[in-house]
Amino acid sequence: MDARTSSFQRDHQRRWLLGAIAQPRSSLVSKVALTILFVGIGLALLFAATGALFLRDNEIKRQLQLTAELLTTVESTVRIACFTGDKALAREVAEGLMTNHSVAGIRISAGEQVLAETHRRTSAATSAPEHMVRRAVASPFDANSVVGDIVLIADSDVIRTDAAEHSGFFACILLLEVLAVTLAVAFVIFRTVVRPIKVLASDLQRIRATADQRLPMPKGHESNEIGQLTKVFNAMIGHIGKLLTQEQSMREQMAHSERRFRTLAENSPDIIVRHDLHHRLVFANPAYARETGLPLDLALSGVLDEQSTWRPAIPIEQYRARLRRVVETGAPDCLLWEWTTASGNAVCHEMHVVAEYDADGNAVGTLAIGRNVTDRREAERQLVHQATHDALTGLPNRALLKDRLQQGIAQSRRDGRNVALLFIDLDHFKSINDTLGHDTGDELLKLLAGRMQSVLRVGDTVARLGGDEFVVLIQDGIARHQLDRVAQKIFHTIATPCEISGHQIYPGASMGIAVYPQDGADADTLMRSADTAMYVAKDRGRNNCRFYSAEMNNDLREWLQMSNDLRRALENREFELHYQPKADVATGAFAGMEALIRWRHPDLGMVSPGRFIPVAEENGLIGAIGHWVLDEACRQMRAWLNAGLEPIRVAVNLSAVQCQGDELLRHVRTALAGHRLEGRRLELEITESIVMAHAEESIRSFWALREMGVRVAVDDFGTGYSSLSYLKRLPVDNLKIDKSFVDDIDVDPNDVEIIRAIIAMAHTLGMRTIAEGVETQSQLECLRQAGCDELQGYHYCKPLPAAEVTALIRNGNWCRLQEVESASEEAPKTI
Amino acid sequence: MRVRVRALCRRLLLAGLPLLVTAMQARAELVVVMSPHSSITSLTREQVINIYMGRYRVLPDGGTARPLDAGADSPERSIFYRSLLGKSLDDISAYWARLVFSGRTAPPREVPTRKALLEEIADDPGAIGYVARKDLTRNLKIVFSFPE
Repeated sequence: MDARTSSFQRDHQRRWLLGAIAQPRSSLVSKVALTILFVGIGLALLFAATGALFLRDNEIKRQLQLTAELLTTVESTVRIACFTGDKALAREVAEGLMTNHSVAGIRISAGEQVLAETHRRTSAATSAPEHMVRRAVASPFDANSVVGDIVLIADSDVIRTDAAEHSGFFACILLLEVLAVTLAVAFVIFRTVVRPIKVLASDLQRIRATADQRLPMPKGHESNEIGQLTKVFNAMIGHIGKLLTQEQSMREQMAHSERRFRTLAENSPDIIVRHDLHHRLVFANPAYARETGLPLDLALSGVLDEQSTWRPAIPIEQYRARLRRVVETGAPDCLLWEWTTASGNAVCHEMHVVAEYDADGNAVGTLAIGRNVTDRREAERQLVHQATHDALTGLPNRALLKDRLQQGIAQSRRDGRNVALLFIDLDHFKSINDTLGHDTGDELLKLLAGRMQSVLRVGDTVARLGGDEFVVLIQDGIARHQLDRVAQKIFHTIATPCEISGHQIYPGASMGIAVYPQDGADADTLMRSADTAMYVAKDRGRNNCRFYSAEMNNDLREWLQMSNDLRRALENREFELHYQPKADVATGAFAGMEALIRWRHPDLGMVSPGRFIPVAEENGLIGAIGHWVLDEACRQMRAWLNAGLEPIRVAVNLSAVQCQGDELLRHVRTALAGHRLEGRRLELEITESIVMAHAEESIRSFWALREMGVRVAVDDFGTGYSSLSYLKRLPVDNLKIDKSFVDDIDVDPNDVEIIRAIIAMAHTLGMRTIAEGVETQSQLECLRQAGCDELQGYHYCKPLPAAEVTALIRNGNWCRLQEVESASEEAPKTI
Repeated sequence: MRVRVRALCRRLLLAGLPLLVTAMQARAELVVVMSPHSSITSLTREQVINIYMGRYRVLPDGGTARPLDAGADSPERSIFYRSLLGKSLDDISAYWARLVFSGRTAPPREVPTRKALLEEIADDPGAIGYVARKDLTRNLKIVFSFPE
């Protein structure tokens, strides 16, 4: 590249010099020589010709004069001859004159008498009159007296010939002189001007301006014009050399810069395009072809909106208006060029557009540099979607819901149409999650989300706030009875049974409805109102729908109050344990106790677990309460032992929270060790649903507990879904038959059969059975017949405070038991 | 003319002052005479010149004129030509030399002595001569006299 450039450079330079002083097609020397020669010859000829003519005329005149002067020489003689009329003398004179060859004839006459007349025969006739000289002859003694005349006839041929010869001679001389001068001038010009110039020219031809060469000064011309010319040339060569060197370095710089920018443009991953003022593409880099899929030669000179494969996402006029503004104002702009490619992919380029100007400052078009931001835009879109939508169901999330709610309220403020907000909370979702697994729960949520959407209009919003909470927003003004219908539809669609991964599920929901503006003046208030209504609905037995009313707030306040009071209750030791004894069905003997928690509220008095346990479960205190119960039960056992009572086994209920993880074993161990108790003194009751939800985990925990000697009972058996295979593997000691089976045992033969089956199964697996909530004698009889091992319930003994139980034990006063005993024929022994 | 004056001056210097005086007197005294027999009573100066210088040798009355010159050394001759033509005798001689060698015209016949001259004039009616007025005789008729 450099070598080419420099060779081009040299060529260029040489051509420049050659162009200026190449071998002349018509030499100055020959031109000058010819010019001088022609001019010289011409002038010489002209001078010679005019000179010859002039000389000839003069010569003729002179000859005539000379001839006439001949007369003067003979005048005195002629005077005498004429005076005396002497013919002889006259003849003598005439003959004397005739010796001159230019004289053609003489006539001398005195008065009338011709004294002498002679003629040369040849020329007499040709003599012109002007060549005849006539002179009067005066008397020798009186000049005033004319005595005759003499006529001389000049020979014009002779005169002419003479004159011609004469003038010819002079013309030749003149010619030669002029020629000599011409040659001399030509020679001088050649020596002093042409040759030095020729030398200069040939020197100049060899000169390389960039090599800092100079013309040698011609000898002898140092101070004249040639010398000056040489100096001027040298100055000029120096100047040209400098300019050429500058130009060369500039050209190299430009080429370098051009290469750099070309490399930049060609390898840029960004699109670089240049459009003229008519939006025609005049430059595009390879990235453009790559992005568009158009060959460059096809793309070039195309108009933005005529690109066949690319379709703009927004009207082309908008692009053009933006581009025009860039050109007009000169302010750079950043626009998004969104396209759909021929293959149907949406692509997006972020184009930075600047106006381009020519050297005069006139706008010539636009330069746009564009980056493919399709992925980024997609990521942004996803981010926005993620930020505003629930990942699981794809429904709008709380943020988007709130946004739409605020919009709806603003709209409502303008047009007066109301806005309805429906809070939906699935019933028992937690137990579904616990028993069937989170995957099933998630599937159910997705299914229900789809169902809800399907029964709502397009303009309505279904959002998921998290967990099992859904909200439906109905914006466009809806009457109360219509709202009822919508709520029913939602209920219905939720409640439709479904099957997920092999499980038949009967979903249910509680719903709270609040309407703007009457139930809340702003979004937050309205949300709270709907939430409150939903809680109320849940509180009222679930699976129903409540419209918000002002009183609901009071209920909620109560709930919150309770939540707060619960926290304080732990610190203030407001909880206490009551103990419900169990009896052996067969013998009626005391068979241990179940510890049941009670809350002695400072203001409200005794609060049932049914009221505060759900609150504790909600606010997370359930774990702490559970620990307290375990510890308190162990403490009481120790107290009884210390009081000298027989060792009594106490059963403690475990919450779901306690069962998770390894905490349970640690806590049990700590509690037992803390009160120096053997494991076999303690029995733990865990509900069937919790056991099955964490079956594998339970198997491990239970075996660990068995190793510690702790007995395990499955509580509320029959209400959940038990897997017999798991049950078989579990080291369970007791099965507690749920109260619901016991209630109708003396009425419903089915329940008897169920209980028989449970008992048979339990016995097969080596477990004892305990019936809960036995309240009547007939129930007792049925259970006895069914082969149940133990019973628990008001029929035998209600739960009692520790002190009362202690007294009872001490006294051995088991009233109910005794009744049982009395009722039964086989009287059990007393404790 | 100046040449002539100079030549005259030179001649006068050679001849000496006395000659000049004599000449002045003599010229004044010369007269052209003819025989009393001649029918001619007077001649004009032109006629005298023509006759003496060879142009005509014919008298106004038709007779032949025969001019006579005094002797070459005589003062009258010199005075005569000077008075008549203003020329010296040398000039006159040169004039006649041209004619004598080639032409037929002859100069006036020279009569060496005054006496012979006078006789010839008196005898020949065609003869014309010049004499000093003091030498005039009865036998002579003045036909022309130089004005004073």
